[in-house]
Parts: sequence; structure tokens; C-alpha cells
Amino acid sequence: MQQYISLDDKYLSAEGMITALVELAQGRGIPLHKLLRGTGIFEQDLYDLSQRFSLLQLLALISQFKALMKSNDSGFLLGHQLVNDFSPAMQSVRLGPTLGASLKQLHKIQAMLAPLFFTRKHIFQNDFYLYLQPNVGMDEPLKNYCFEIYSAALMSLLKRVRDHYPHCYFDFTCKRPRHIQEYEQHLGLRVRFEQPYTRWHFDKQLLKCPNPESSPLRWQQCIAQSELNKNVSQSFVEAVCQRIYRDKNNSLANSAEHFAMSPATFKRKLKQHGVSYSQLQDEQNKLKALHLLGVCQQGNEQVAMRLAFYDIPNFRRAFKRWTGITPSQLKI
Amino acid sequence: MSLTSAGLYYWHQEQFVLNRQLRRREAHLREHEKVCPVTGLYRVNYLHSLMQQQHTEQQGGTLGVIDIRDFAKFNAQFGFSEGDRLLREISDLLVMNCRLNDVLCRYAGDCFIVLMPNTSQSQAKELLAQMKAALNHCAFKVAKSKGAQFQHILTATMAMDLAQDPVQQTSQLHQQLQKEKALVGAAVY
Repeated sequence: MQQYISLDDKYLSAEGMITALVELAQGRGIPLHKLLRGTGIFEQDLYDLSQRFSLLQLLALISQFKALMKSNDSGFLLGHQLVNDFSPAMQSVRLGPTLGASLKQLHKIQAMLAPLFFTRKHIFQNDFYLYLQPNVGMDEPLKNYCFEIYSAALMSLLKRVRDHYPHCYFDFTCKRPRHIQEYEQHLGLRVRFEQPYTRWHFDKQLLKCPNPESSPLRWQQCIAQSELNKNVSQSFVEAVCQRIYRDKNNSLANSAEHFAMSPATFKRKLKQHGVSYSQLQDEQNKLKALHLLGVCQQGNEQVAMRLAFYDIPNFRRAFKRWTGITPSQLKI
Repeated sequence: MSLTSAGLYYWHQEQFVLNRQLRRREAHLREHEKVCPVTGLYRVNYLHSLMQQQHTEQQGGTLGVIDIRDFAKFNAQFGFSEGDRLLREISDLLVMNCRLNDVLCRYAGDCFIVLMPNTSQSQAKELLAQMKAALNHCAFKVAKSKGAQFQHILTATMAMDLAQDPVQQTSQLHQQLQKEKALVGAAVY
């Protein structure tokens, strides 16, 4: 059976996020021992590239970083720094011949580069949509902070492969934050808040833009290198979400069986990640419904059928529970 | 005894110098949690409270915004500690070019806003042009590279609208700047 990553599996190397974070903090004069306090990471672990860290440790480190940096733009700076990283994994993304190839590679090694989230992409007509969902249940401020980090990283990546200012739409679930100026400065003006999903969306044509930094040989080398280090596939929460998304037959008992666990173990394991099964189920259905209704402009009947609802009133009621508005209100 | 009085005397002198240095970075509010730790300038929420105060006193003014282009690239090339140093130098230069009543704030990242009370827009434009010239001629030396780094600067101004919400106004000003960025456009970010 395939192994999925759980919260306390140690598989992340110090390259990338952890290094970038420590460097930034030290640049601002934060002592290392303060930053590492309570994370279970020791200074000598950072010098040893064979040392591995868990998602739990990473999360603890990020929240410590957030608290100590005190400035509003620390998340965005970290995002930029992530893309500047010299690890083979990041280079295999950065040196791709086009943005599309870069994103594809990123998706492949996402568990290493961006372990806190998983993405689902859709292409509809002229637009490219990327929906983000957390791999771990986090509290709201920390989740928003992590979204800031990765959004800044995406913007940084877009700016590298594109020679003029890329227009990307960012949708966030949180309320309009007080430090809106940082969002404007780092992500551009196409930022929306209080949306039902976290989504990035840009013109499909951007995917085909040739990357001025690209170098085919080095790109291939980096891909081969990162393939060697690749030891993991998918996080547990992502696998469950994917299963819910793809299979209509997704009751808790069925899913538990699919993952070869008893329902009780399955539930316990999800709880350990800070999520519940019904919560994931609702989230998946919500995203699917929103995408079909809002982007693909399908009718209520079709969407209700796709989501395996018995009738339309039932679907409308569920939709209202997920988003707070009715399907017809969404279309206006 | 004489040692203490000598110490006190020097301390007093130092306070004078510090006060003089601070004078152009702030108006009359003093809240030190609102200072940006990197540049020593005030953050934007200070500017907002100041604008609110101007609104109650019914004083007009003009807002100017100054943005460094390619700053992200600079950071990527030379690292964040050099980037921070550049920001500090630039803010010092900007303060030097401000008049006594102007208040300079760091808006976000590499973007600065200057509040010029009782100033017409044409006057403000001239002042901003002077700041821009000063920054354009600043040859920043980076440890890693032999040559000096020159910065490209973009500016925009807007008359202060007393009726409007300060946050909205700075946001609008920033939008104006972004539009200008798109116009000047290609090749750089």
C-alpha cells in the first residue's frame, strides 16, 4: 500500500523554507535560540542536510517566526526568499522553459516545496485556476499567514518568468486585513477578500510564456537531482480529499476501507491532523459546486446531479449552508 | 559629583541631537510601536491617524508616493540584509530632502508616502521631483559587486481629500502608482 505523509513524519529537509526562514530572522537580528524555542529543532540539525523535519515542526517554526518578526511584511519576504532558494528542487521549478512546465514540476514535488497546502488546478476557456487547501488544520491567523507566504512566492515566480507585470487574481477567505498595503505592494491590486475559497487565477496565456532564465540542460539536471531525493508522495489529508473529490461513493466507512483502516482509526487519524471527515466532505463539495456554478456557468440541475444530490431544494439548502448564499445569488 | 554632571550634560546634548534627527520623521504624535524597525520611519497606521487629525483640524495637504522599481530583483540578487540596508539609506536620503513640516512614512516594502501639509499639488510635484533626483543620483555600494547600484524611482501625487477615509486614500494613491508602473511598463517589475 502507498504510504501517505502524516503530520509527524519527518521527511522535510532543511533546504528551502527552513533555511530561508532562519536566514531572514537572523538578518533582522533575532537570536537563533529564540526562533527555535519549542519547535524541537536544534541548531546543529540545521547544518546537517540529511536531517529531516516534520510538518508539525515546520508549523511551530513558522508561528514562532511570525511572532518574533513583528513586521507585517515578514510573510511576503519569506515567500520571495523561497523562490530565491538554490536547492535543486526549487531550481527545477525556477529553470523550467515555460511557466506551465514550472508549475507542473512544482505540483510534482509539492510535498517537499510547499508541504502545507495542496492545490487543484482547472483550466476553463482562457483562464487558469488554482484552488488551495491546507494539508493540516491550522488556526485562522496562521493559515492566512501561510497563504501570504505562498501567494508572495507565486507572484515572485510569475515575475521571474514573465517580463512584464503579471496580472494574477488572488482570492482569500479572510476579512480585509489591516495591513492591506502589503498585499497591494507584493501581490498587486487584484486581491479580493471574504471569498468562499482561496484561489489564484490568471490568464492561460501566461503558462506559455517562455522563461528568460531557463536553461534546458541545467533544468534536466535539477529534475534528475530532485527525483533522487524524492521520497514521499502525498499527504494524508490530500489523499482523503482527492478520494472524496473523485469518488461519488464516499461515505466515511467506504473511505476508511479504501485507506485500509477501521472507521475509528480513520477518524482518529484525521483528528490528529486537525480536521474532521464531514468538514473535508463539505469543503470538497463546496469547491466543486462553486467552480461549476461560478466559473463553468452550469445550471443548478446539472450541478446538483454532478454532486449526487437527490433533488434541487436539497442542493440549494446544502449550498446555502456551505457559503451563506443561494446558488442563484452567486450567479448575479 | 562632577562626573555625574558631566554625564548628564552629554546625555542632554545627545537628546538634542536625537530630537533634531527625529523632527522630520514625525509630526506631533509619538507612538513608538508604530515605528518600522527596518528604516526607523513611521508605519502607515501613523500616517492614517495623522490624516484623521488633519481632517478634524480641516487642514488640506498633498500626499506623495515614492516607489523603487526592481527592488525585489535587488533583494534576490544581493540578499535581504543588503536590501534592508538600501532601504535605510534611502529613507535617510528622503528625510534629508523633506521639508520640516513634511512627514515621511514607509507604506509597504519599497514604497514610501510623504504627507505635505498646506501644499499645492504643483508644489508637491516639484518636491517629489527633487527627491527623485536625489535618489536617482544615489550610488549605492554593495559589498558583493564592484560597481554601484542605481535605483529607478517612480512617484505620484494626490491632493488630500478631507472627506474620505485615510486608508481608502492611501490605497487610491498606491493604485495610481501601480497604473504608472504598468504604463512605464515592460521589462522591469
